[in-house]
Amino acid sequence: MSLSAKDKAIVKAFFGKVAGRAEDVGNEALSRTLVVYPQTKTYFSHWKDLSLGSAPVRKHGGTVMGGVLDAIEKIDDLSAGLLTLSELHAFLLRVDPANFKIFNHNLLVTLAMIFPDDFTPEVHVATDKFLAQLSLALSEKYR
Amino acid sequence: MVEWTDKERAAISDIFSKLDYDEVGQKCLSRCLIVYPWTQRYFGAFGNLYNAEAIMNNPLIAKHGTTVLRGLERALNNMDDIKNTYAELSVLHSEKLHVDPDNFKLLSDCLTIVIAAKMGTTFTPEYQASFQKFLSVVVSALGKQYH
Repeated sequence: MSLSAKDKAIVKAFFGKVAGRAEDVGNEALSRTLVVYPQTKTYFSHWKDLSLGSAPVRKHGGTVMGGVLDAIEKIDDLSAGLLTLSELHAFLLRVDPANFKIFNHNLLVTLAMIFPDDFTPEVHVATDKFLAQLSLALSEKYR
Repeated sequence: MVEWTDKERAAISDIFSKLDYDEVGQKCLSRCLIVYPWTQRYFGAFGNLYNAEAIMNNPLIAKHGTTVLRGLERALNNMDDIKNTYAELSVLHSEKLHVDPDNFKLLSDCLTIVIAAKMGTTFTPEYQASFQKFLSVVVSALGKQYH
């Protein structure tokens, strides 16, 4: 299910709009991940405050969205472009890759919430495909 | 037996009270067929599903979307025994319709997204958690009679 030229165009156009609210989107998506899938909190035991909209959650949501937006710049070769991030997740963070799917789902819910008119079924399928490829590239160095 | 807190029951009821079954049903089912095109395999008799526009305008799909939402309402009205409420539906989906149960999750994800788009910020993370718990019980019940 690789990305067609049309998929890439749709993703670039839509996320051009999303970029303006990157921190809000990241905060919302990460907060939902932590609330709806409580097992994900295990990766953040070093934060004092995991509540909705807390400073560490907001900051980290922004960081993750920054990564997603950066990946769009590298959409033509995600494996190469995300090499360093993959090494980080594989060797240092050791996040179980199943969680990438969980975060992606909550990102899709957040995008639907914040951009209801722009997040059409066509944008949804292109974004879903892109996030799946991103997750694959992020898992590249795991084993 | 699934345990529901009062907050969860309230959240799920509140969400359903805001849904126009015709609107949400059509949006949810057509989104599923567009985002996960392999699900179209179950709708061979539904006419033109050739592209996203055709799917969105297909009256048979719209009608079936309403049917699905009415089915979910049965679960809402029998939250303490969804498994038995859905026993016949499960047999139907397995023996007659031959639907791969993995598809139930795909449709439920699309429903969550359609509701998020509709409710915006009032679809809080807690509401999402309650609603996804409800949908996962529904999905499990629908798969129960497969063998």
